[in-house]
Amino acid sequence: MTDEIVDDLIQRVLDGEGTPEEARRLQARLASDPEVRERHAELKQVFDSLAAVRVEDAPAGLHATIMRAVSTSAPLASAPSTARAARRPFDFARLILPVAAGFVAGALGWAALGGSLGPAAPPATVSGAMADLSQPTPLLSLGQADQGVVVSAARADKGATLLELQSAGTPVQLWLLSDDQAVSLVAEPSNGANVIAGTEGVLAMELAPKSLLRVRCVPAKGAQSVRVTAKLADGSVAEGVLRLEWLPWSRRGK
Amino acid sequence: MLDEDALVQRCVQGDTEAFSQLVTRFERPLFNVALRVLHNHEEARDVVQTAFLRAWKHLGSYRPEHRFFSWIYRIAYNEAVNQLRKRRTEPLDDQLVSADRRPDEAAADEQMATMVEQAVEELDEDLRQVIVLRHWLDQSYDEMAETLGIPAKTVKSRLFTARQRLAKVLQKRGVRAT
Repeated sequence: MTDEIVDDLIQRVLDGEGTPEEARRLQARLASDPEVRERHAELKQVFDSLAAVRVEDAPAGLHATIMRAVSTSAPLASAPSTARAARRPFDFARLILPVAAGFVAGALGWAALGGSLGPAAPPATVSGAMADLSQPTPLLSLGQADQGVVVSAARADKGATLLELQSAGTPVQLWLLSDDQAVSLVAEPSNGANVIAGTEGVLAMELAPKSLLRVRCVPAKGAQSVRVTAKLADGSVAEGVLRLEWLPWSRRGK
Repeated sequence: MLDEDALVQRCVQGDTEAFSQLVTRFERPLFNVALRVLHNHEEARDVVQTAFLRAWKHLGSYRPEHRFFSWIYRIAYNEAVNQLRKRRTEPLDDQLVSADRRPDEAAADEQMATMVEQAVEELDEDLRQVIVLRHWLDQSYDEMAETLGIPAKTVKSRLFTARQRLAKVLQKRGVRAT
């Protein structure tokens, strides 16, 4: 048995993750091998030391304070909307089919850019070609032409990508969600857009009919995804994914 | 008692009672996570409150294929780290031996706990997280993998590395294996 296997065995048993058989094997090694005994004692000391630190109770009154704040704040799922009371809460379980539709729409956008997607297509992407988009270029069409939203993208300065979200003839609720909150999303002021909530990597907004909202996206590093979800006037949901690739500014536009 | 998924589903529909149950379930572990980052009870309390409120407001962005705790853990942890960055840090000893400590606690235990906390504090962030989750939040390898979004194998190797480093630090400070 190698040192690595012995160390793994000791750790698993001390963590309570070992099987009874593993525990028996360890006992046998401890009885016969002083070196294993020493390694076991060293690790056990760490466990005992860590157990000396108290796990604290949550402060008294914290629960009540949280719930008071919650009671005066609507969740984003049923976020402020002119017709909120008449609408059903947002249900992500209903996204599965629209997601597929969004990917198809994205694929069309990709094709329009000269990209290609194989049978196991990744999400619609704005990648290397993105660096060459000096003008806003439509990439995703979510929903029908008369009540959907079109997402265009263009290169912005200093590593940023500018998304343009253009609604058709009806209002639309939109969510932009960055994977792992790795893309900074900042909405520019717009008369026809009501940004309901914005935090690191998340934007929720409503677009009035025929409105345009620009969102500046700055990926932290590497390639990052931004999921665009639209709840349309008829209650249906459509979704697509944009993959943003951060390129050093010196490489952009080549 | 409803399971976590059912509670979250009800929360998404605006059910504050269901959210209250989630707060009851997770306020203690999240408070301890924030406390290990900030070493300050008031700030840890604020972080937990902010994390829950943020979670409530953004339930629409929660993905049900992940555990709710994994999601809110990341919110709380990031919030705590951000808070730490905002704060101009005092010397570590001053923070750890804070007025929060009760005078009637056994001095030896307290000294040991402080020493261990300092040793954990010296670990890299990814190593510190696995120690906190395993030893103070009592999570299994699989739960930690889910919480941190890494494979269980990586959890185990990080735990092993973290413990090796802790053993060295503790030995330097006179804590010996018996």
